[in-house]
Amino acid sequence: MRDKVTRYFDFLLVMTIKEIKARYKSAVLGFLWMFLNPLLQMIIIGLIFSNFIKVPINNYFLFLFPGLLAWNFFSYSITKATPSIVYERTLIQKSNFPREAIPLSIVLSNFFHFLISICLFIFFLIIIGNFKNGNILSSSIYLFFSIFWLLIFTCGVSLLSSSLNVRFRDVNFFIQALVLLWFYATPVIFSLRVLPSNYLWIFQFNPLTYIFEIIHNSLINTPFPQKDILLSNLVLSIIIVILGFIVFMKNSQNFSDWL
Amino acid sequence: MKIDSGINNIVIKLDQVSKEYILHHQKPTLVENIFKLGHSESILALKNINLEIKRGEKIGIIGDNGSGKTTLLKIISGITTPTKGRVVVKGRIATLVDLEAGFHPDLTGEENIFINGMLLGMSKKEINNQFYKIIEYSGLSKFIDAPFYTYSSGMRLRLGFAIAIHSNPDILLLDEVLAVGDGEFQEKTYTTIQNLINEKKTIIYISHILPVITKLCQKVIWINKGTIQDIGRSDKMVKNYQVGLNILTKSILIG
Repeated sequence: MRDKVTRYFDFLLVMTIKEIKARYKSAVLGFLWMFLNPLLQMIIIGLIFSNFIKVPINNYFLFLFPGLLAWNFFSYSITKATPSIVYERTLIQKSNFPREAIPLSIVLSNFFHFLISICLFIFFLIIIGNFKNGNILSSSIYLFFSIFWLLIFTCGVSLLSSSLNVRFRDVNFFIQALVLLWFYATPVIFSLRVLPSNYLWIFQFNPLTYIFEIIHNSLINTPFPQKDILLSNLVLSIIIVILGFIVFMKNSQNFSDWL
Repeated sequence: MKIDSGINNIVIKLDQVSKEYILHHQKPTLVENIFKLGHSESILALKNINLEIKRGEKIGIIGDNGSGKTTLLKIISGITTPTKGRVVVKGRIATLVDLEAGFHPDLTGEENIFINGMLLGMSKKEINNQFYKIIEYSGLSKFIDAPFYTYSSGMRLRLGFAIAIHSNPDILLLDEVLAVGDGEFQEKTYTTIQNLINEKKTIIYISHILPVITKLCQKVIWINKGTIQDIGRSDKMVKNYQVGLNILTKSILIG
């Protein structure tokens, strides 16, 4: 039994390392892209939103960074994981390894990148002396909690979308459109506090709202999100994650029939 | 004292196994599926198969194209699950199909050995132990740190075969793959498979090359239209099958 568990996690680890290694293998700048990519994104979005569309947030460039890192993790993960089972059809026809390793290794490899870049960002905050004043312990607990929540939620969505995409290839296109919409429906480049209050109820139905608000709050001085969003976000997340696991496990035994 | 009774010796058991495939003329889209616009037909690839294979048996499977041989192999190896019935398999299975699959083109041969080995169910420790044996067997020691996309197709097959053989399987499933690589390597694979036959490995071999089946297997399962037509000694089964083929050919020629 214990042997089986270690083998399972070793397998997941090897698949994750494969994803990490393979991504930057032939890029000259290699792992530097991990940080360059969100940096370029931050500069572009920062320039647009601080010059053309004014967002009333202090230190807007600093505010953008953690949200964009977390958003990149989420969006890269689900857009790459959704068609992953279909792409790896030859593997599935070859042997009966645990199928969930395919989407989960993509999520985990992106998570690895996210962790490194968020650590670099915290390091940067400390150097420029702009680190959030207040209780560091409670901030780190909140940050840890929100990142963990984001990871589990991303796994759930990826399992759901990748398994549904095997039978209905439309799911891939749907996810692509959804990600674009989701970006603006999540407090990534703005904070809930700057929105008119009559729109706030919409954000209860987006499980990512609370996660991003806490990430901002624990790293940058933004107000703490209201508690009433927490419950609905948490319940919705749990439902989606459980649904993802069930749908994946039910369908994964017969993936090969559809590929 | 433990008696090695017949029941303990059974490594593969299929109980009333049926497999239904939905015949898709075209992939159903979401809308078609919701509104049931697409007509769904289904075919039974396997019908009520009962089968017991004992440890160390060498079984050949023969039958026409589309008779369900490959579906049977997929069900035994766990790549797909039956629609009805129960499958029990004891021990590790290695399937020698798609030997080139499970490699990442941008990674080196070394890195790929770990990925491929784990896909076949090996643990990290086992791969570490077998690592140099795999490289030596494949004859690729000079190229093992080069990226996989630089390998020729023969080299890919050789690496795939080397890993599959060193995964220490209890049950070996072969689907028409005894010709791997160049002449020298083919001889090597043939000797390896001969050795596995001499060891107490269970082997299931699907082929249309009937003389090889009679040579390698003691017992043959003849599959026809998703059911087991007959099971018996290999020479007898192959003969019956050939007689059936001859009658068919004649009837086509006459009629």
